Amino acid sequence: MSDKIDSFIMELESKLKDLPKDEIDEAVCYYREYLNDAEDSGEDPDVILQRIGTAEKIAAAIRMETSIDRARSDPGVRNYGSVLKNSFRVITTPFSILFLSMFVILSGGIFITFYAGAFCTFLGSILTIAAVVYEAANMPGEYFIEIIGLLGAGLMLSSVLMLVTICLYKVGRLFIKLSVWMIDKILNKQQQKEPSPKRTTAAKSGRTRAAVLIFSILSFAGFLIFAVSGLPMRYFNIFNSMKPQNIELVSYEFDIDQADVISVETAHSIIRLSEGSGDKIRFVYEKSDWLDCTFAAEGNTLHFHEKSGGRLPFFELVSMHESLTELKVYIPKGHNVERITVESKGGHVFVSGLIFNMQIETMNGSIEVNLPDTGRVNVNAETSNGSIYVNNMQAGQKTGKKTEYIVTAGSEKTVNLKSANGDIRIKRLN
Amino acid sequence: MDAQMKKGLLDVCVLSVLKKEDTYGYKLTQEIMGILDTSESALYPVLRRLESQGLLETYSAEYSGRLRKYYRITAKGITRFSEMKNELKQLKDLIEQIIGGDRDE
Repeated sequence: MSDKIDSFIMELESKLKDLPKDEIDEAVCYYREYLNDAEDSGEDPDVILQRIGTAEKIAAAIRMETSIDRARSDPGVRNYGSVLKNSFRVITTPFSILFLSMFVILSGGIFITFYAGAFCTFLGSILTIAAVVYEAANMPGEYFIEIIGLLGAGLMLSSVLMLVTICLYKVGRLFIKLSVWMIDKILNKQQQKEPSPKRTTAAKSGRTRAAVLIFSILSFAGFLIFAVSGLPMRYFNIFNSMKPQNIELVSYEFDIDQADVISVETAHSIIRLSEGSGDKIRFVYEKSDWLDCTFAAEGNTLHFHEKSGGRLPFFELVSMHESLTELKVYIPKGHNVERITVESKGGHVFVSGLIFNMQIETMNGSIEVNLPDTGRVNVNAETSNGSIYVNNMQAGQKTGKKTEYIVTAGSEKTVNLKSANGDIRIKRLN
Repeated sequence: MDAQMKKGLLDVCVLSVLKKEDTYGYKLTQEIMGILDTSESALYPVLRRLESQGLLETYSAEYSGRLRKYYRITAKGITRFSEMKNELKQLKDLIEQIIGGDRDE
């Protein structure tokens, strides 16, 4: 064999060195045999090498073919990248470079979107599991039915997110496949009517099918556990403003001299303050089974606090919505309370006929107060996303992001009303 | 002739040569170059692709002390070749219709 042929073969081999070994061997064998046959039939090695083109050009053509084959059978990001890289090596006219660039940007954008979506849902799935496990670990062990229900819900949600992840990933791959097919077409290779030999696809699609099956089963199992635990019904009741079952009536009575200051705080129960008969301050509380309350009388302060009993997972979210259980507070007629503070996150607050220094605050609940007349009380109402009504007429002034309604009666008693998202209704001022 | 048109004809050309007899890379290329004016390096990817599609197969035979790879058309390749032939015949009829009509005017 001539030295020139030898060095050509060596150059070709080095130009192909990152390809799989069997592909290099096949190409090198073909060209070695080809050149030997050419020499044997009496051709001048110089002439034949001139005619056949540079090793670089030949390597580029082989590379293009190989990368398209590989991206077809395994349309991943890396194989797609090598198709793009090689396609720019092969084409030369400015127009096709421009066209291919535009196409690459377009199709790249689409599949990156799907891949990013898949990554987000995958992350969401992991975070769901973490949040659920954290929540379950913080629940009291006696509510194990709810704990298991919560874990079931987490299983369901994270499995569904995993299914979405697989789906987005597959669609992304489909776009790569489509894009490779288009590039192949743009470069004007003849279309393959037969599918290319599947090397890794069979095993991979088997794995995908198994994963889809497992996640489907898991999500269904999670759904069953969640449903059987009774949690969905509880959430359903709350979010549809239905009165919960299993209410325990709790009532407390206090002497009036114990209570100069009354402080009431609920998560999402309704609070009703009104004048009562008798000579004691009475609290009547409808306690639902997922809530707990503490009662404290310190000096001359009465303090009522409603909180989660640990039975309902993700209580913080639930408490944004009202519960139809009520806390009624009756204050004897003629008794003077120095100050009343009321705070509720999701529940509504109703006050009728009381004139005290009051501070009422809610996050999502509405506030309704019935005031005997203006002369004896200053009113200060403020809401961010709700409206203020005085005797069923819209009132108040919008300043910046909130609406304010202020009545200054020159009295020493002030009613402060504040709701972030609920409406404020004030009735019968005069 | 247009380079892309020629590329399309390479497959059918290769199959038609192999239908007559088994042959090896160099001889096949020479024969094809006698029919179509194509570049010498264009044939290797075509052969590889046809082989992966199962239209042809290879075997090695000894020739003057070294191994030579021979290409042989498969049954599938023969079927595909006759399909291609029919397609080209239809194309030829169509072209004759167009050009013939042109001449009549």
